[in-house]
Amino acid sequence: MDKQLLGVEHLSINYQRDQESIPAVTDVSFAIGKEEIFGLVGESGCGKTSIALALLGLLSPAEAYVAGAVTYAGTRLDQIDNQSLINLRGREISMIFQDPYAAWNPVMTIGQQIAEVFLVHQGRAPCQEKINSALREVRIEDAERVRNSYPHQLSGGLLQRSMIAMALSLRPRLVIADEPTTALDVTLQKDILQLLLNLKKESGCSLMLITHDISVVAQTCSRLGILYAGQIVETGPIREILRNPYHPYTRALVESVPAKYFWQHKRLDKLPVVPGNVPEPGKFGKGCRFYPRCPERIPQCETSVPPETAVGQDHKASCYAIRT
Amino acid sequence: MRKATGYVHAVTDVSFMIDKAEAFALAGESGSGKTTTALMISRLITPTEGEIKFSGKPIAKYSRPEYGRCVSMIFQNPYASLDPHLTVGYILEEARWSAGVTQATQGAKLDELLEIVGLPADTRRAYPFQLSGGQRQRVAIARALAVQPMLIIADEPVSSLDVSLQAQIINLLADIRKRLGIAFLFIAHDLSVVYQFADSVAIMHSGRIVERGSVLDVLDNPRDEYTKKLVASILSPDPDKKVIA
Repeated sequence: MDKQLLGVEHLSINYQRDQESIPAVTDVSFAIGKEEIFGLVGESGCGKTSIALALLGLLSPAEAYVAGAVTYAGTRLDQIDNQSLINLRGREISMIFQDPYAAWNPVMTIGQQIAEVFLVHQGRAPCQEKINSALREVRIEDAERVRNSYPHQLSGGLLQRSMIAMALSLRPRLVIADEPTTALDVTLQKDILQLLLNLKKESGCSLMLITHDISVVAQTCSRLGILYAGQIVETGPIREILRNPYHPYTRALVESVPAKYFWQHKRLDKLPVVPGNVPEPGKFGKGCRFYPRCPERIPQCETSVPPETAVGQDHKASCYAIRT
Repeated sequence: MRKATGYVHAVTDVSFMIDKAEAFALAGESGSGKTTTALMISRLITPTEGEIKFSGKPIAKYSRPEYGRCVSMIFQNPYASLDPHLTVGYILEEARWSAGVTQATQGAKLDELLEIVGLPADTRRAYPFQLSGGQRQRVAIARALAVQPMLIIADEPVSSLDVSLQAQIINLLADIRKRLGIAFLFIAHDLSVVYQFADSVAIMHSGRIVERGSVLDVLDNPRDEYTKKLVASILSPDPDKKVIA
């Protein structure tokens, strides 16, 4: 990894519900380098979005207890005051949300909402031309119309492009994209990912891409963290992980993607599967959280959490099963 | 001649035929007319022009319960398709009553239905909110099976599920088809899923079928420009086969 931009160390998030503390994320550590694209991969309920929200300081202390250190460009985000966080969000670190239909305010035009970003950070509303040019940057041709439109008047693709325009409008150094293409059609998915990559190159920002789709990270990321039930079970460079997945969960993720067999022109009688579901937060066992579903479990896995071990060049996994 | 279980003219001059026990896929982007076509076949909407036949008889000539025993549906979102205030057992029973399946004619018992879809027998007492997304979709599949249909219309049955669940549900549907000889109209936008599940495929674009044939013919050697574009949008999970750079 090149010079580090974001460092996350021992991040834990516990939601408070009815006097109970429910662990959503436990002891997660990873780092994102300058101009790097880092992929955080996991299924729903694994804690991906909680991590993103915690990084931005968007979880209120009343609902969640967040522990650990988040260092952004030398500043401890977990220790600075709320006003400094507000100054940072949108200008230094911005976020693209999963559902473009839900992320926009329905009673304001796209232009008004993009203007707010400038208003908050620069103290005055930008001229219309500035907003138009932000929209044109994400390859929206009729920027004038889009700027004056309300969210319900636009397609999902245009809304997602506009959200990217808003996220990038102040040239942040880190963009967090939470499942940016999951709600979109397949052909749009490719366009939007291409667009994100082009803009990333032009602006030199770092990108944290949150997704459950191995194909999306294979196409875009340089390093990955694999998240299962609130813990990182494997991290490493993309090729390392996809060529030699170490953790049985990572292997299951890599093996169960239908796109893999499509491009091998293989039709299978049965797709490889891991039985069962991701456990709900609060229903984790004492040991490895993948234990109940793991095809390679040994007794030790039930009672103690496997430590993170180096298994290759910059490649770490947390698993007791020893493989060569 | 083939023995057809369904024959359709829909949306804009759409025609296709589904054989007995065949897995037929309708693929395309949202807005291409896939779901409209499915709703016409399930008789939830009526075509303006053209005709749909089931086992050689126009579907309009069937009585409601009679047709309900021929064709059933699985929807995309298992969080929306199950009535939240009914137990799983009630949901399955209700599907049968509405199709007029009586005690005498009913085949599989509830426990057997649940077993087929891989759920424990005591799930019948559970409410949907007590189940995970994957379990709910299994209940939706059991409901579709409850009337012992000849054709199941599955509208994007895996697209709202997690990756590790998608493969489980695709395998389950394939297994049901083999074991029970039920035909499937499988609606999907993800061609890599279609490739694994279906025998034949029709690609829809703007309400028309632009290409169709066997899955291997169409998806391994697409001829239509739009099909080519759809195939090219399947992202490879191999970092050395990048289409995005």
